[in-house]
Amino acid sequence: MTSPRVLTAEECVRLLGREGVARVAICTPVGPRIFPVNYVCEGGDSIVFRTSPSSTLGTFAWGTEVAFQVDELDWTTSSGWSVEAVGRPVVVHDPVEIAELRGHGEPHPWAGGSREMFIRLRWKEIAGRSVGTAPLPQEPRDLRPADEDHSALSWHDRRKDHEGP
Amino acid sequence: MSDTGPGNGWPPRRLEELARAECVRLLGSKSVGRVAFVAEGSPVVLPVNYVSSDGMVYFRTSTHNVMAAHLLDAAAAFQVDDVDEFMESGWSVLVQGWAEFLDPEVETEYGLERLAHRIEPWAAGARYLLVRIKPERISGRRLEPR
Repeated sequence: MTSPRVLTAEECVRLLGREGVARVAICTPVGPRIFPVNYVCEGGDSIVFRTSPSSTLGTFAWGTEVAFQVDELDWTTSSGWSVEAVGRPVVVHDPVEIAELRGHGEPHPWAGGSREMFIRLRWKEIAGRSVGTAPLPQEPRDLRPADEDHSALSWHDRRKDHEGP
Repeated sequence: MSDTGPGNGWPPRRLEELARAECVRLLGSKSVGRVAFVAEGSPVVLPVNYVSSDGMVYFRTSTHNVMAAHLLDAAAAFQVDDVDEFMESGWSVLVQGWAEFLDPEVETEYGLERLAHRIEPWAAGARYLLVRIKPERISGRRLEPR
């Protein structure tokens, strides 16, 4: 067992930049809540996720402090890392900004539906820790199943061609 | 990008609310979750390894950290999920309730002795504080291909 290591701000930003799925913790009048979201990282100083204006996140996840957390934890080796970014998110209203976000093709909510509210968190604090002996990931994330042939198609094509679950 | 379903060519997803019994079962199936609470007006969310029994959530922490300082008899949320980023599907269960500190010396009272090894903290250092989150509400959702 090793002592937890405090990550540098640079390490935190790099790990957050791997994107994927995070959890947003918010304060509501009836206590804290946590929701998973998929997100994109922009410019090394903010993240953006989408929700519906009528959802709990759409109601309480902006204009007040939220905590945004990502981790990769491996039960088999008791290793992993966690990064938490804290700040006061804003709703993105600017059509140009929204068009740019859409142009990047992300973040697309997996659940689909009318999740038309873009929320941006420009964090004021970022902190992280790692435990265990496994090295921090250096490469961008690769979501492909390990047993797939990676050679022939681009990732995007492969997903398009996939027949589904 | 599509506004009616996930992008990247996946078929539309179906979002299903989970029954409490299913949420309790799923809670018992995982070992790492995230606990959220409020510290000086700001939310905090931290990963912990835990065990769950009948919807109760137990984990250990240090007596000298932010959880020890702010979780006592405080409103807390606990969340576990299992997401498949390749398939863009998965589930999430949220426990809303209150945190309390238990005496680890009497953890047999809580039926934890069988499970104790699963809440051995991964990080070194004394983590004697046994925390329980008692649920007031348990909810969950599953996102699946139609």
